[in-house]
Amino acid sequence: MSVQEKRASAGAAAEPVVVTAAAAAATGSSGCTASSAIARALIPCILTAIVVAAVSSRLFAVIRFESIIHEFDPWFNYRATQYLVSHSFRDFLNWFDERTWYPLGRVTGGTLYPGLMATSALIWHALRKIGMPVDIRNVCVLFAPVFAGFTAYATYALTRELKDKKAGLLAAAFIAIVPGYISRSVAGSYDNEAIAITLLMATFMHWIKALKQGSIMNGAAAALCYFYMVSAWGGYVFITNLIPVHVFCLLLMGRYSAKVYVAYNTWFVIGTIASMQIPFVGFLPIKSNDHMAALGVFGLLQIAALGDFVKATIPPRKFKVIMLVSIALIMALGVAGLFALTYAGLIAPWTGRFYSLWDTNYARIHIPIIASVSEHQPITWPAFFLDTHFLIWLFPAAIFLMFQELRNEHVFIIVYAVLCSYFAGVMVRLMLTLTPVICIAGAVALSKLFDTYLDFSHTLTKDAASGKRKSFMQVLTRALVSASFVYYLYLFVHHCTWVTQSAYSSPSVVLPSQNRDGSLAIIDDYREAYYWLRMNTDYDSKVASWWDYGYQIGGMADRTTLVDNNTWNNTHIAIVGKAMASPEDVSYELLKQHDVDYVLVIFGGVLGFGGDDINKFLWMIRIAEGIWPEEVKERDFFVNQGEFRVDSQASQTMKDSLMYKLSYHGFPDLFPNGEGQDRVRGQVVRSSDVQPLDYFDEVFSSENWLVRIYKLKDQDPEGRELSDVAKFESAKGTKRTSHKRPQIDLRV
Amino acid sequence: MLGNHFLHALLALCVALTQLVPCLARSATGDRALLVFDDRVDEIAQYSQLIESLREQHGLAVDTVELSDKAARVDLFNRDIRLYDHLLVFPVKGKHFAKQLAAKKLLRFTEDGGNVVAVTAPRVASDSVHQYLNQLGIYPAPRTQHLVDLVSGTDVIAAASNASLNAHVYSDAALVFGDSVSPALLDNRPQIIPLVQASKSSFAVSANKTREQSWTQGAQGYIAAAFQNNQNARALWLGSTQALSNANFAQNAQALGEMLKWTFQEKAVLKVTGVSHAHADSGLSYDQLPYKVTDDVVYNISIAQWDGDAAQWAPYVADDVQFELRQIDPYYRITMHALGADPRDATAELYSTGAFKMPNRHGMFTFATDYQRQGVSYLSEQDIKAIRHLANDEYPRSWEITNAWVYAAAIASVIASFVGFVFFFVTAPASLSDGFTDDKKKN
Repeated sequence: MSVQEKRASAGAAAEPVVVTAAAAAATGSSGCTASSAIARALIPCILTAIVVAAVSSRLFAVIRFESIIHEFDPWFNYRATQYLVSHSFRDFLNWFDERTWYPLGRVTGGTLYPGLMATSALIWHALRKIGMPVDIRNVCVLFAPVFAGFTAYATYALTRELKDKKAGLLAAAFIAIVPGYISRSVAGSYDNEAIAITLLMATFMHWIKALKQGSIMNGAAAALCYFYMVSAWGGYVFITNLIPVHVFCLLLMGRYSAKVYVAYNTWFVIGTIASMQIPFVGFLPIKSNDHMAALGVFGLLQIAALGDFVKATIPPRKFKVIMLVSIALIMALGVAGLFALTYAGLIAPWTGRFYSLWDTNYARIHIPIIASVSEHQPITWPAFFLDTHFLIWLFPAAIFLMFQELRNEHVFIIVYAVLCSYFAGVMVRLMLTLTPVICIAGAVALSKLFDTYLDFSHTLTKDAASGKRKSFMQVLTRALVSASFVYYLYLFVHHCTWVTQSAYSSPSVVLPSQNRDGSLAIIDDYREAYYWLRMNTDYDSKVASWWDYGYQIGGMADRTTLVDNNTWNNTHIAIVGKAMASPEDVSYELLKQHDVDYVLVIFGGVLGFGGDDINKFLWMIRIAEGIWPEEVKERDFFVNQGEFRVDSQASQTMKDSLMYKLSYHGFPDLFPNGEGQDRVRGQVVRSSDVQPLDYFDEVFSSENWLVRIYKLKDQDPEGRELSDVAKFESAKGTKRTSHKRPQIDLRV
Repeated sequence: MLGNHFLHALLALCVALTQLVPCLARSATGDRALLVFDDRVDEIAQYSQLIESLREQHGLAVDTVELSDKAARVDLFNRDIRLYDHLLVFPVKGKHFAKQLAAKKLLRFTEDGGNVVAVTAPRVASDSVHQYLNQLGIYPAPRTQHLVDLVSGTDVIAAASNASLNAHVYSDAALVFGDSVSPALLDNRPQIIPLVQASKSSFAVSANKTREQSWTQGAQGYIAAAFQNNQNARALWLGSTQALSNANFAQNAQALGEMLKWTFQEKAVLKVTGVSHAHADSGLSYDQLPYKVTDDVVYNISIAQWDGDAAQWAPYVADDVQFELRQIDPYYRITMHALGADPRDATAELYSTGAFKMPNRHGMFTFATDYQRQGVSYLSEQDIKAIRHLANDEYPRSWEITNAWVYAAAIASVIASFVGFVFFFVTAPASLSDGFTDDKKKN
C-alpha cells in the first residue's frame, strides 16, 4: 500500500486539487485548468488503489491458512446465511432453531440482525443471476474485505465534508489499512461489524450533508442507512445516541436553524419507524431507555422551533421570561416523566451492558456472564498504539484544529471523538467505533499540515514573478517537516501490514504453531473433533460444552447444543456451569435431565494452549454460583492460600469437579511415572490426583488433546448408581461375599 | 363369493385348530432353559416334579448341569450370542462353581435379556449367586443364618400372609417353605417386586455359636422376591429349596407356577405396537405439518400383552396409562382412554389422549409414555419434537382487532387533515396569506 502525498496547486483556489508527489514536479508550473483535469482523473485512480489495498491487506488469512470462517460468532452468521440461501426469506424471518439452546430452542429469526445475512444472500443470488455460481462460503469469507473497500469510500465522502478532498483521500487511505478496523474485517471474519462500520460511515456522511444543506433527501438517505445499520448490528444504538447529542450540543450553542430542524426530524421520523420493522428491535425505539435521548431531542427540537417562531413575533424582553419559565417547566416535566415511566416499567430499565459502560466494575460484581466475555474487558494503553499507530497522537491535535473552525460538522466529530474515546476505554470491542474517528481526525490534521508544509509552489513560482528568492530556511523547514511526516506515513503502512499479518489474521479455528525447525505447523484439533462429532454421532445427539463453542459445534459439527455464544439465557448457561463444577453424580443427573449425550471440553495442558476450559473454569463457577449459591461455591475451588491450583494441592472440590476429571482423565499416563506436566498452568498432575470416571466414557481426544469428547454412560439397567457399577466391575473376580449386613434405606 | 366364504371358514378352522393343540413355546422370549444344581447339596430327584412341570407346563427345553463334577462347564454365551433364555440356579457350592458362574457372568446374562431363577438356602455358600443378587438389591442372609419363628411353635416357616403382594406375578395362595429358609433384605429400588414377606414374629438366627448380628428381624425379611430390570429381563429369588421339592410341590404348584410363568416372560409381558401423534383437527402428522404453539394435538399409543396360554398377543386394557408432554418439567400428564382394539392391529389396545392444546410456549417437547408398573413390563416411549412459535403473519391482522380501529382512525384522520391543510394552503385566495407574508418581509 502506498500512501499518497497531496498538495494544492497554487492557483486552484476554487477547487482543491490533489496530485501525487511524483506528479507534482510535472504539474507544478502548469495552469489551473490542466491540474484540475488531472485531479479529476486522479481521484478515482487513487480511490481505486485504496480499495484494492483495503481488500488485499485483508487476504492474509486466506493466503496463510485457507478460505475458512473465523472464530465464534461468524460461524453462527454463516450457518444463518446457509439457512437463508436454502430457504425463503419468510422462513428465515420465522426461523425457529431447535438445534440450539436445547430444550428451549431459539427464535432465531426474531433474535438476530438479518442485515448481514440478507446482504450476502443477495450477493449470492446476484452472482448466480449473472452466471457466477459462487459457493456461499466464499461469499461470506470475502464479505468483510469487500465492505472494507466501501468503508474507505464512505470515509472519503465524510471527510470531504469536513475539510476537502485531500483530507478525504488521506482518511480513506488510513481507514483502509488501520489495524483497529482490520481486526474485525479480515477475510473470514464474517461478523456484523464487517458491514456495520461501512454503514456507520455512510450514515454519518449523509447526516452531515443533510445538516449542511438542510436537505430532506440527505436526511432520508441518512435514515435509510440508519435502517440498514439497525438491521445489521446491535451497535446502531451508538448512532441513535450520537446524532441527538450532536443536535443537543448545537442547540446549547444557540445554533438552532431550519436546516438542523429539517435534517433531524427527517432522520428521526423515518429512521425510527424503519428501525421498528426489524423483528429483533420491535418496539424498543419507543420503550427502551437507550433510545430516549433521540426521542427527547426530537421533542426539544419542536420546542426550539416554537421558541424560534415566538422569538420572531414578540419583543426580546418578554421572550426571555417565557424562555426561562418554559425551560424550567419542560426540564421538570421531562425528568419526572422519565422516572415515572421507568418506575412503571413502561420504559425498559437500562441493560447490564449499559451499566458496565459507566462503571467498569459493575459487570464484574453483578453480571459475570458479561464480564466473562474477553471483548468486554477494559482496554490497555498499548492497544491504542497497536491499533492506530501514529494516528493516536495526531488525534488530539486534530480535535484542537476542529475547535478552531468549529462548524456544525466539526462539533459532530468532536462529540463523536469524546464519546468514543471514553467508551473504548471501557470495552475493548468499542475500539472498533473509535478507529474511524481517529482516522478522520488524523487525516484532517495531516492534510492541514501538508497544506502548509508540502506547498513548495511558492518557491517555484514566486521566483519568476518577483525575482525574489525564498529564504533557504523556509524551504528547509518545509522539506524537513514534510519528509518526517512522509516517513511517519511509511512507518504507518509498515506497522499496519505487520500487525495485520501477525496479530489479526489467525482464524482461531486453526492455530498456527512452529515445528522444531521453525517451519509453520497447523494445529487443526478443533476441526478434527467437530468432524468426528459430525461423522460418528447420531444426528439428534445433544452436546454439552461451555457456551464459547456452541456456534462452532452448530456450524461445523451440526449437532444440537445446550448453550451457545448468543448468551440470551443466563440460567441455561449456569446449568452447564453447574454441571461442570459439580461432582460426577450430580452432573450426570443434571445432564441426563437435559437429554445430553456428549460432553465436550477444551484442554490445553498438553499443547500449552492458554484459552482452555480449565482457565475459563472460574467463570463457569461464578455464573453457576449466581444461580445456586448453596450448591456451587467459588471459595471451595481455591486452596487455602487463595490460589487456583490443579496439582496435588488442589482442593478436593476442584478434584471432584467434572471439569477437572474430564480435562485430566488419562493425562498423567502420557508422561513417565504418571507425572503429567500441565504446560499451561505449569503444574504437575499425578495419577493419584485424577479420580476415575464412573459416569462418562471417553470417546474421542483430538491429536493434541485440545478437544476431548465424552459420552454419558447409559443408566444401569439394574438401577444401581453408576459409581457402584464401576466398583463392582473393577472388583477382582471370585471374591468371597462379605457377611456384613448392608446399610440400606428403609423399604417403603 | 361362495368360494370366498368357504376359504374364510377354512382359515378360521385352521386358526381354531392351532389353538387347540397345546403349544409348547409359551414364553414371549424363548424356550431354552438351563438348570444348574449340585448333587452334594440336594439330589435332583427331589425336584423331579418341578422339572417335569417346566417341560410340560412351561414348555421349556431344559438342559441340566451338575456342578459337583469338576469337569462340568457352564456356557451361557457362545462368544457374544446368548445360548439360553432362562437360567435356574439351585444352591451350589465350591470354587469350581464360582468360576463357572461368576456374578459378572450372571449379571451379563440378565443384561442381555436372560431370565434367572435363583434359589438360595441356609448352609450353602453360593457366593457368586449372592453377589449377583446383591447387585440386584437382594441381600440373602449368609449361610450361617436361617429364619426361625418362635411364636408359631412349629419349625415350619410360614409367610406373613397368604395374600399376594403383587397380583401381576401370582395370586393369593398359602405357600409352604419348609423349615430351612434363608431370608433376605431388599433395598429400595423400584425394580424389585417383593413377593413373600416373612412374618412379624420371625427373625434370622445364626447356627454358629458366635454372636453374629441377626440378618433380618420380623417383617423386614423376605422369603421370595422378583426383579425386573429396566430392559424387562426378569429374575426370581426364592429363599427356600424345600418349597420346590416334590414333598411340597403339590401345594405350591399353583402359586409357584405363576411366579415361574412371570419370570419366564409367559405373562405380564407388554409391548408397544404403535405410537402416533397428529393434529387433532386435520389429522396431519408432524412430518406433514409441524406443530406450533396452541395447536390441538392428539396422541395415540397401542399396547399389546402376551398371552402365554394362547401363545399370542392380545389387547392390554388398563385405566392408568398416562401420556406426558414435557420440556424438562411436565406440561401435561393425561390419563389416556382405552378405545378398544387398534383398528390397524387387532392384537393391541388403542389408547388416546383425545385432543389437547399445545402449551403457549415454543421449544423442544418430549411426547412420552412412561408406563412403569411393578409386575408388568416397563414401557417407555419418547418422541422429541420442536414446537415452533407463531410466524409473523400468523397473528391476527390489525383490522381484525377492534381495539386497533381507534388508532387506525387516528392515523387516517391525521393524514387526511394534513392533505386537506396542504390543499387549502396552496389553493387559498391570496388575500388570506397577504398579511402573514407582509409581516415576514418587514422582519
